Amino acid sequence: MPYLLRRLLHLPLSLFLLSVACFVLSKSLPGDPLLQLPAPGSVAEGSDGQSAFALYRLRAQQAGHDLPPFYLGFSNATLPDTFHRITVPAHRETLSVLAARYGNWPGVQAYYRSLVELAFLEADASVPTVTAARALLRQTDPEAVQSLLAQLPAEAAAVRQGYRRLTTQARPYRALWPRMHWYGTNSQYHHYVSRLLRGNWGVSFIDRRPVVDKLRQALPTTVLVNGLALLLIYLLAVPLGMYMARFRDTAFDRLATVLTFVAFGIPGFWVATLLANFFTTPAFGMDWFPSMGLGEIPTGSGLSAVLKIRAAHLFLPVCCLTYPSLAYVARHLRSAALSEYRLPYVATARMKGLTEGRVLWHHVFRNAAFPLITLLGGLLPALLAGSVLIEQIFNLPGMGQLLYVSALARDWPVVTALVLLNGVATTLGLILADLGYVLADPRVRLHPTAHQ
Amino acid sequence: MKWAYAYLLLLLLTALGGDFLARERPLLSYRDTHYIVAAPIPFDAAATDLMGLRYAPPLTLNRNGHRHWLGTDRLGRDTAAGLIAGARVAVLVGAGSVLLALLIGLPLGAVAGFFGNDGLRVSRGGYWAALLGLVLGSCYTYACLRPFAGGGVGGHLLVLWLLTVGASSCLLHLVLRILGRRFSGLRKPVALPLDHLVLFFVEWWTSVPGLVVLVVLLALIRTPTLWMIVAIIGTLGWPAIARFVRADLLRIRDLTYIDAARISGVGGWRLLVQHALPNTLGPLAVVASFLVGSSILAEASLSFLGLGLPADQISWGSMLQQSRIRPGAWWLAVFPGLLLTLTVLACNRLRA
Repeated sequence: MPYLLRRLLHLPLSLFLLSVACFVLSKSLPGDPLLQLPAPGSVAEGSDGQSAFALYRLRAQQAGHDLPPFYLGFSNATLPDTFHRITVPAHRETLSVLAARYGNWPGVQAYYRSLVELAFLEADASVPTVTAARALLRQTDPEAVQSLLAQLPAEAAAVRQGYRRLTTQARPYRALWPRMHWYGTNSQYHHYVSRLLRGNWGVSFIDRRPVVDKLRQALPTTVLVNGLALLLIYLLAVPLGMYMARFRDTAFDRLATVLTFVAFGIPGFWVATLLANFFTTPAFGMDWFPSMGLGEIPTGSGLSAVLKIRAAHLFLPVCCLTYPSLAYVARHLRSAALSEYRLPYVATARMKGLTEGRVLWHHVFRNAAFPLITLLGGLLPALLAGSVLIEQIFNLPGMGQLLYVSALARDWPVVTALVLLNGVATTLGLILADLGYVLADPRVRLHPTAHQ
Repeated sequence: MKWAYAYLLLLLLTALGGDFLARERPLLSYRDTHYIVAAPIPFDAAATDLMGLRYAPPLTLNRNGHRHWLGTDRLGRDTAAGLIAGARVAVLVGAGSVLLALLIGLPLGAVAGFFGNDGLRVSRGGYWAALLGLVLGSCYTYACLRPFAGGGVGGHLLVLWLLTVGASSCLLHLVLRILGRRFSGLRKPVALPLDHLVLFFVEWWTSVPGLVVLVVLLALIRTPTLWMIVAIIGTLGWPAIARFVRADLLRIRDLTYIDAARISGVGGWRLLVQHALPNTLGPLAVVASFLVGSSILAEASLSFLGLGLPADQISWGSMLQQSRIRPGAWWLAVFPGLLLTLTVLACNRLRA
């Protein structure tokens, strides 16, 4: 099965690209992740310049931020291959701009060293010298640098001299020469992926809990709600779609066609908002359903009580999740079944004297149901991802709400983990759908291009 | 079908003429006779009325004797004027993002479907020149030209990237051509696996669900402009276009008129652009209009989540969001949702 094999070969490549994308995302997010950590011990951040900077560097080393980012490094010739050892992102930015402009790395390095010594010498950041030096660490504009240098006191001659040497011994346009370096496996990406594989997905910025714990807590709700919805979709859509095709052009079919068209078009989150506003609040005297969440189960209550509480809380969200997909699947199945009805084998089955019901379910359905496998592959990832909107409206503590809350709070470790998880789930769902399709329908194996 | 066209036309006209339908200043005024011609809805969409009517139900008269036909919101802004402002946002988002999606998806899907995996042949030298030129040119732009492009990642860098990739490909092509005189293997034609490449790209691009990407990106941007939202929704929508165009061209390329044109000597690219593509434009318009509906829906969901446009820019989604704060204000939930539903249904209807 070369088609299957090729399909499976895509998987590692997809996962690799996905992990690279998530790694780049986690690296390029705003804010310095090291500053998000609370200061250990009594040394408050920034209070004692020298030791705070040393502490920052130590933490960066512990977190592996002084390692090269990837196996292979690409840069221009003005930067050394150990440039990644400068751990402060803002400093790295400044230095790379200066290096590219003057092409004089030894000069940049000497200037940076003298500047760091000055900037983190004093504890108090409001001392003018320290303020100016720290501003210089972020400043690349030549005129602004000159005016800041003028603010430095006389004893800071080393910095001024360093800058002068840097600019006078410039080798401009050296940045046009590329440089490549192979760093091997001791790189940040390599450690990132091996941490992921070992189940260490980082720690939330907000509450310091491991990301995996938060995911594990949110997953059952989402699986419950979406699993119920998925079950309902298939249980209801299959008979609906098939009977629409069976009784085509009758009043039932016409009504069902219009209804499914409208149901597919009405946005689920609007219906959810209306239902939540009308039936879970006392605003209109129709406070029939419990308002938000999954409900508290009193300890020691029996199975029937648990079911009753859960059902009351889940009824509206499951309805809102079900109806658009239900309509979509039913319409899809109807058109698939209709095209099957035109084929000669249906006439043959009828001529054999089979009942109409047997023709419908044993002949037409088996052939019309193949696309359902693909649809299932697309719907499965939703089990994991959850619906951001529905969970947000009904306040269900699932994966969708976790994503929304974390994204708003800029809790990037959780957000990156969720993006990665969603990507893996979708990729696997697609592959499973394709595999199922190929195993179920031999025609795909024979003419792969026509069915992709 | 007819009502869908009529509704969409009305929506377009409302978006274009919104300034004349809803505004606080009169359309015409004659100072001598104190005679004014007021707009049908004499309120600006963004004009707040904090001292006056907040959460006023429909048909309420305000203290100046103007009627809030559809009520007001939390800040005393008129709902009807907000709906008109929202129509403009919806039209811009729908049209803009679909144009972008067509711009990316149409060429990719067309090339993948028409040429397939063996329809486009180039010499092995040319193949490697293009591939290596792309990789090396991109790496070189990233490493060496970024400092010269003014720091940011804007249009300058894009132009530099295109120039570098083009120049390095041409250079490599020249080198490989000279080498090809010695090694005949380089001259051998190889087929470009365009279909595989595009399908893989589409699959990878859609591997994270759209709404997840939207939530993450917009939380990252924090204060997006309308054009940013259009760009993001458009770049999420192109795979649908590419998939459809590819599937449709797979069908068209086997039709007899294509064979006839090929036999009479029409070359590959011309065959694609002048003969095959026009045949797919009709069905494509239907798919594109479907995408318009889902783009508008995506923007509404974002505004509903409070991640979309800035707060002073009213859209249907942000009005729906306000109804969640005050469930009793049913007019804030019903009217924008109704318009949204009608728009999506009308866009879907063009498909049938």
